[in-house]
Amino acid sequence: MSHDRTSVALAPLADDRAAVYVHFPWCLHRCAYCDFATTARHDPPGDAYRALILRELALRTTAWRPSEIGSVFFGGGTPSLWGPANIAAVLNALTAWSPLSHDCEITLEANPGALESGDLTSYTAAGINRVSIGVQAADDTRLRALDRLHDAAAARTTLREIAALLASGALHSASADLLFGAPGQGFPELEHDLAEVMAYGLPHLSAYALTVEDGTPLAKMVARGLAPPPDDDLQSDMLEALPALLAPWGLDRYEVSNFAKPGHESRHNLVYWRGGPYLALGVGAHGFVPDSAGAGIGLRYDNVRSSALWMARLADDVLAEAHRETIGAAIHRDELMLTGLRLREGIDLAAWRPRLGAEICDALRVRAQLLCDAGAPLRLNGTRLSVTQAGTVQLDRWLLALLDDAGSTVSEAARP
Amino acid sequence: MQADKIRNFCIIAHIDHGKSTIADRILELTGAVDARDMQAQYLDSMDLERERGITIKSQAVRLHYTADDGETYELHLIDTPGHVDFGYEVSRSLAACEGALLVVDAAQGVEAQTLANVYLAIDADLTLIPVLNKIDLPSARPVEVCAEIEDGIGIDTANAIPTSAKNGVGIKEILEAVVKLIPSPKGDPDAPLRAMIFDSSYDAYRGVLVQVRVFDGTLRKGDKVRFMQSMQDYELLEIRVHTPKVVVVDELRYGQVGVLVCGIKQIQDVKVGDTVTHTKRRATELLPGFKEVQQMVYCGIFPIESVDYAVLRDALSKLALNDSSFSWEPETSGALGFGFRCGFLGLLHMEVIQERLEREYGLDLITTAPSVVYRCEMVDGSEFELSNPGDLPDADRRLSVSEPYVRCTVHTPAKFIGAIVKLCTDRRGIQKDMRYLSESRVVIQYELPLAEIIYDFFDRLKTVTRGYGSLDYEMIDFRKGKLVKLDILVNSEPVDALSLIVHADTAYDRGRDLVAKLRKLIPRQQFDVPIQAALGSKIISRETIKALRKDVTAKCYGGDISRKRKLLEKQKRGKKRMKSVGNVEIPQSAFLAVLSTD
Repeated sequence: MSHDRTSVALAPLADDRAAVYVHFPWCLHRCAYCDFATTARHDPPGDAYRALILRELALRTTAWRPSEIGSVFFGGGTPSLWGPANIAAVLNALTAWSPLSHDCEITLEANPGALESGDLTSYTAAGINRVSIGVQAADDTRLRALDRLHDAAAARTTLREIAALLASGALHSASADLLFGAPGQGFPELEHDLAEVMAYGLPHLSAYALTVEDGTPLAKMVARGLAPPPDDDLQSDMLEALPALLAPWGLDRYEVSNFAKPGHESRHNLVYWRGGPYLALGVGAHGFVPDSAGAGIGLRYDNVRSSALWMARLADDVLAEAHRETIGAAIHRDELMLTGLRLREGIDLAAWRPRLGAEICDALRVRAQLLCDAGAPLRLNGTRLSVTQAGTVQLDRWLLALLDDAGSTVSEAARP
Repeated sequence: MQADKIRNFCIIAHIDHGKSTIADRILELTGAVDARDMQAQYLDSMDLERERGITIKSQAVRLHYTADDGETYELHLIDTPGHVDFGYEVSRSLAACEGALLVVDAAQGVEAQTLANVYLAIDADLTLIPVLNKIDLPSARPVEVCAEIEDGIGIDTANAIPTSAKNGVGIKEILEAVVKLIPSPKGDPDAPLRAMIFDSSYDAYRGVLVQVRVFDGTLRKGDKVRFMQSMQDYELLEIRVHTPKVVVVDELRYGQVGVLVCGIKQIQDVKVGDTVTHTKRRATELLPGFKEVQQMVYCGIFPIESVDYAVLRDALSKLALNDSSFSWEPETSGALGFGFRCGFLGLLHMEVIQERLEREYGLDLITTAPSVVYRCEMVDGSEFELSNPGDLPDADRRLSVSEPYVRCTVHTPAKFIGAIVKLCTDRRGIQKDMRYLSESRVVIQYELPLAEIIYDFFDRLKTVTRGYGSLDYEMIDFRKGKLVKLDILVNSEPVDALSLIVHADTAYDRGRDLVAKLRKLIPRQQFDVPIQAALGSKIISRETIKALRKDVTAKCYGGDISRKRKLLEKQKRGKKRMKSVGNVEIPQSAFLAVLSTD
């Protein structure tokens, strides 16, 4: 089982296998709830964009050469609009930097509405071995309410194609995204959505509670009373019920919103959650790379969200970063907790010692023990700390309780 | 024009009984307005007036009508404000007339508001001409309605004029009756000037426009005049009359009506009911009936975005230019920040101003529940008035609190008597009178605390009488009562804008109801929010808005880590503060929940 994976001490970032994220910023249409770096466009300039991605790769890889690349993720936007030739070109360039591992996971995000029949096969020929498909809902009325471009029939066609590619071995794994707790979706509709998608035998599912993000059209509609806000109680019930609903298909929760058959956990995303390094390329992409100057544990950077600005800068052979931050031990502790506690496997405090130092790890362990004793839904098994299934709905609260440096007493923090 | 050929009259009618339509038809028939220029309800110049079917500002129009006797008469049609809030203004407009058309809907019959204005007209000694409008309706019942007028008002309906203003039927007959029945103005052309101000408005180029009716003497352009109440002297720059187009004239003789332009900058300097005389040759006596305008209802108006404060201030000062009966001053609320305390003649007046602020200035506002003025007598013998419940001193420092009472007149079909009596009793009313106008219609009089009727009394009355009941009220006096301040605490912090003054006997119930209501209206937060009602330091009711059950981020991938971590840091910093400070979003509906009684 995934959460029983033997822990490895967190080595300095530079020694790790690298993950690579490549962002393709265009969609045919922008959904009302989306807050990603995305622009709607019918004829994205794919070839020009590929050339600039390769330039950014060259600019970023002079200082860091990892032993190998463990995963590549083409995200967006809708990268399935980019074309297999461009994907293959990017993979080639990456290989020139560092070899792809023998089990390298190479994922393409795709939207049912933006795929022609046969597209996926040509993408697998270009090197893609995992697909993540944005199904979101399996009902036309609710898809329209979510402002999605595709319909349920299109989703079924794509899922059927994926199932065939999985069976033939052209794809090693595949995942679908579903939204839950959207208006119009009760438990029967949720079960219908799950049954529709799982019928194709997908080994991985991401199920997200619909969230109203500030600044999105959905947030404005909710603020004006034009759309109902998501029902907190219903979403909580669904979040709690999902493991049982997915068990019949053999999927386990391994992260708050992610479920997989054993061995099909997303390797790429596990790098984020376990604090590993990742190179990021493209508009609005966020990366975490070794700090070659040596001052911190790593460097976080993010590129500008404007495609036009990013392209103009790269055309001048200059990086187009919006922010860059050196990450020290104190900040890194918060990051590791923030992402690590989302995993069912939790975090291994012993493994963190080399990176964070003994003091931080020991203090965390003491506080976790006190919270456990006070009845918090945490589990401390040796040096491994995790949040129980029951604690998942309130995860952020327990995270705060664990990280409270302000000195509120444990009994205060643990009070239900 | 000789005074014996002048007729000054107005139209008294309940809302929707057709006053404005009749006025429109009169303007057409006398040729004052071409049919092609005719815009429905010509006299109601504000959009809001047209939409709501009410008149907020009076308009006086000079018309010429050649009667069947061959003589040409000068008619001044004075359109009066048509709502209970403007009772004093109505009385001044009526005082400018010798007669009135009493327009009654032949289907609806006599209603409370008609009656109130009829009594004002009778007090002013006006000749009343009953007009039965909408006789074309299948549901018209002219015989019964005439009986109601005779029984209820006591005026003869033998000469009542059946009309259908919509179809132009009966308009000629109305004008003939005006000429024959309404007396010409009496006055002394040689006496010192006396003219009564019955309305005012503001013009960006001319300053304040003052509507007057001359009773004695003559006003001429260039005269030096004195406003006797406000003791201000002005030079008369221009005299206008409306036909309804603006026409400049050289003089107004006794009996005539017109508009004075004196270059007055502030409408507050012009008091309705004041007497205008000459500075040199002054009248010795004021015209009777002057009263200072009294604001009856107050509320706090706050911008939702604090950056809009300056815009709101600007908008209020512009509205005040045209309306001397509304007051405003800065107010600071712990909960709502910087805003204004505004005083109004009544609820309709308040709604009109609020609506104009939102509509004409595009402002998003939070309005606190309306409050009446209370008089508070202190232990140390001092006395003061307050309109903000938050200002009521602690119980041990005050001797007594008095609240305004009104006399309420309700007209209703007899079958709803029980429901109305219950409604009035629930609102601490004291029954004073109940009379049958006819077998099926009753007029009931109650004395009620104004505070009990300012919010939803009228709506409730309409509901319990299925729309057939009508209401009118007038101020009578202030009475001492067992009044206490009910405070509301949100997240353990008192929210001043939610405080209210209630009768001690109902304080517990009101506290419990309000807390229950607020629990539903305030959205769930990340933490538990207690809502409490308190009398002084004593908590009398408590409910808790449970924290959101779900407190977990749905998605967290590579790109989100920095953002989520910063959010986490903010939460770590804010955690302590959130417990002590009422960091709770309270929606507008919660502020109005204070007074609703459902």
